[in-house]
Amino acid sequence: MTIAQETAGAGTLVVPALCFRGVSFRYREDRPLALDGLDFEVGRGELLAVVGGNGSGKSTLARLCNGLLEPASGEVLVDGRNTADPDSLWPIRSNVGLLFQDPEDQIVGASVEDDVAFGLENLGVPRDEMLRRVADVLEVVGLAGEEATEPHLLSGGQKQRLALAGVLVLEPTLLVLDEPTSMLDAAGREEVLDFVRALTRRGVGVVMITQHMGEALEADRLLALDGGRRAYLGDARSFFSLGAFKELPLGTPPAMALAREVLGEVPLADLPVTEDELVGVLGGARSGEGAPPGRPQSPGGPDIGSTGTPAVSPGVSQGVPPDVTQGLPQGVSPGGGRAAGPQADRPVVTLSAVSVVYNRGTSLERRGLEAVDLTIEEGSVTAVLGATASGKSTLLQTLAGLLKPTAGVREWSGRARPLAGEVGMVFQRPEAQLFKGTVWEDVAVAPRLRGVEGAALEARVKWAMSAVGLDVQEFGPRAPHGLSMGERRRVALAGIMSLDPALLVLDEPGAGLDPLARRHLIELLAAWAAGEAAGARSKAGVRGDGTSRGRADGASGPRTLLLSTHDMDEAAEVADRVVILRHGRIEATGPAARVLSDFDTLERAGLRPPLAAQVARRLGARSVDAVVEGKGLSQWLGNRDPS
Amino acid sequence: MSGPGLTIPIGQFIPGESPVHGLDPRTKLVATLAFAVALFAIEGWSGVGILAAGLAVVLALAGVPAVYLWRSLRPLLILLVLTFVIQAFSFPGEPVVGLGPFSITREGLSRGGFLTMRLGMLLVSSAALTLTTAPVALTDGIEWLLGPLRRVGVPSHEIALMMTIALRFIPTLLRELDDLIKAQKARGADLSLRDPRRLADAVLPLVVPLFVLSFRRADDLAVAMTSRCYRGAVGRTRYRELKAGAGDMLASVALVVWFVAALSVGRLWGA
Repeated sequence: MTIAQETAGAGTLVVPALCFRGVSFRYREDRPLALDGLDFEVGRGELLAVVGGNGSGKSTLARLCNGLLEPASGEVLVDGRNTADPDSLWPIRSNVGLLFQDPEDQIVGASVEDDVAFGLENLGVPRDEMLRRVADVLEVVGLAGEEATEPHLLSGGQKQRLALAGVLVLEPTLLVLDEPTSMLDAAGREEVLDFVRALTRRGVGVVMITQHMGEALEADRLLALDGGRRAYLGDARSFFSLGAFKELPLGTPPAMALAREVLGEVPLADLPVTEDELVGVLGGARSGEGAPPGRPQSPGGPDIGSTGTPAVSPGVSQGVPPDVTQGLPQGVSPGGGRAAGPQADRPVVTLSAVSVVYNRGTSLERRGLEAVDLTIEEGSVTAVLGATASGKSTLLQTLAGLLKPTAGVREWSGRARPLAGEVGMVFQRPEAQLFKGTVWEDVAVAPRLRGVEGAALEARVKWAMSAVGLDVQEFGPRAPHGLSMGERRRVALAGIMSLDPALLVLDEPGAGLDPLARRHLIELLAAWAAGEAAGARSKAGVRGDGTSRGRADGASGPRTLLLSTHDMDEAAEVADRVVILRHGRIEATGPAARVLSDFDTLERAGLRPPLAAQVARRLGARSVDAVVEGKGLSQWLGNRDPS
Repeated sequence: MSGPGLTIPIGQFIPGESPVHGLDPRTKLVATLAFAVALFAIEGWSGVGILAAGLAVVLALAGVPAVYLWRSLRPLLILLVLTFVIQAFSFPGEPVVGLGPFSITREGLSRGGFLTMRLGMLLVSSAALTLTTAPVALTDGIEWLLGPLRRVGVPSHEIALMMTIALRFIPTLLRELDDLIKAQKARGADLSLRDPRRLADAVLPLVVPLFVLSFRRADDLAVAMTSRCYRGAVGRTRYRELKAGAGDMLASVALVVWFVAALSVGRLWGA
């Protein structure tokens, strides 16, 4: 029984939008079942989230919904029509909208309107009606005015909306979304979710495959897959609060992870699952209304969700020592670099009045950076943040020496150009650049080009691979293209780490990865930087041991890490400094805790504060309190309680 | 994805509002073809003069900046010069300048100039077509023109769709190539082709990933197209309607008069 059927009232037989009955499927005879006896229904206007690990059958499920694949046994019914019936195939395809991860691969037309019309053309819809429906749907997805725009000129979010428009124009009764938000930032994700919600209100059934547990919580019901079988089907919240999700390789809803960090050892059932619940519990704890004991406890305990990995890497969870975050003169210094703070370190790279203009003198002229002053200091971990097209990639490439500024001066440790191997840059989606037959060979490319051979090369490759958590014996001989996306990403990372750069620049290292792989990657990076960076940071105090993770070949000097991300929580966790860009200018720069708790600045830059900062704000914290991650939230709650 | 710094210019269509821009793509396609035929059917300089004058009028109407025309001629400039030189030297007749056993003849200069002018005008006219016609419109026009050939088995719809998809994905692939070049350079790769022995080292780091990316995209695109009910040309309607208006009628008449004049003038004078 689906919710829709239950609410439809007795006597009325409502045909569900989608019905799987004992569906099994295998791709080849000699392969195991991709789906195994799957039963579920999606009612009209219902939002069903589908979750599961890699290879659990999620994408197979999506392709069964519109007859792209046919079940080996069992049946798939859309509006009561069987997908195995050849006569029903085209009515079904026009009623089922399928949307995949990468909108780029779903856009056929050479202009926005041509693409939206594609499905209508295929169905033989008369031209007058086509014109009307294309115009209507472009209005709905907010692309009116872009009719003649070529798709490659659209932003990522616009492309996703165009792909959605191409599907919606067929007026589907069922929408199947295969990780539709994995390529989007928080704002884009929210936009898509709001849209999906609006569609369900109009009676469209939605199947949303997702890796984001926060998103899965928004669904009416949740289906969890494990090895092609149904592991859970029911209320989304209960899936988490009853602990069923711990049996599967899934992430934890962000609010739940934060709650675990702040509340400590609380029975799972008492743990808040959403942000609202967390605020409620923490707010209640203060007024002593018998909520779970708000025992602020030091985080970093190993038990966060089902991942089995510590939520915060030792040494990095510290982020910025409290004296730095709170004792500094307040107010962000736009464009001014770091005013002589308590730790005036050695600059690794300095920009003064740097501007970058693309396609200068043509009609396509575009400003990438404008009058940027910035100093990146040795041993720091800096996160570059900003909305889409704010100049993040341009800034990183300029700092890495790969892009020549139109104006201004750059210096690397006082030199006009970096030494060979001094700076390493990892581009977005670096797994695309792998081209050798084996992982070992690919990691060896860069050092080889610098003349490293023999035993030294062996050592370099081994060291780089272990730095990204890949075992040389196991992964070395394997073909890169047979690995999972997260593994390929790590191979590509090792390919740059093998240069052992003093400054490592990463453009959106976590983009497009599922939350678990992303988490793993960020932890690796944090650990890599922490090896020596910790030593540099606590210059005045204890010298970090630094020996266990020394540079390859015994090179000296601490590591400096520079990364861009659109995940504020990630930034709050790994970075000690933050640079915020807006329209190619520096909007703010400073210690991470201070900048990330400055709501006004973030809002101006089109960014959302980290979850912990939002929760703290709702509980009455101010920017001065500089709460941006779990540990800070615990401390703040602890300090506040006595009053 | 949005790698900055894309410096490769894409497409050479310059949007505009001119009467030439406003013509139906079919009119322009047919006119360009007819112009090419006329170029090689004319005899003598008077015909060239009339065609050149007409082309100049079209270009003026279209308001295409001369620099774009020059850019479209530039890659083939060597061909034009070579044609002229070979003709000038090889045609028998009254010598003007002698260079040992070779000599430039008056007839050679005339022939060379005649041929070079016509080749140059062919290039300029096709540039005028692509500069004033959106690629989408061009594929539509080609599909329509190939339409009658469907009966003899020419897949006109499929050809046009392939052209559309190519147009759609060329910018995407160029951007990916751009990103790859930067990424491999960041690994220390020398991608210049200075040393032919290291050709593979320079090319493989780009070609292998680009192939992998393209095949993956092609695969996903096929699934997406099928999901959006694509099943070939059968029962398809068209969103873009090609509509020839009064301007096209007028242009057609003017073109016919123009070509006939160019063709007949040489013959009349010759007679």
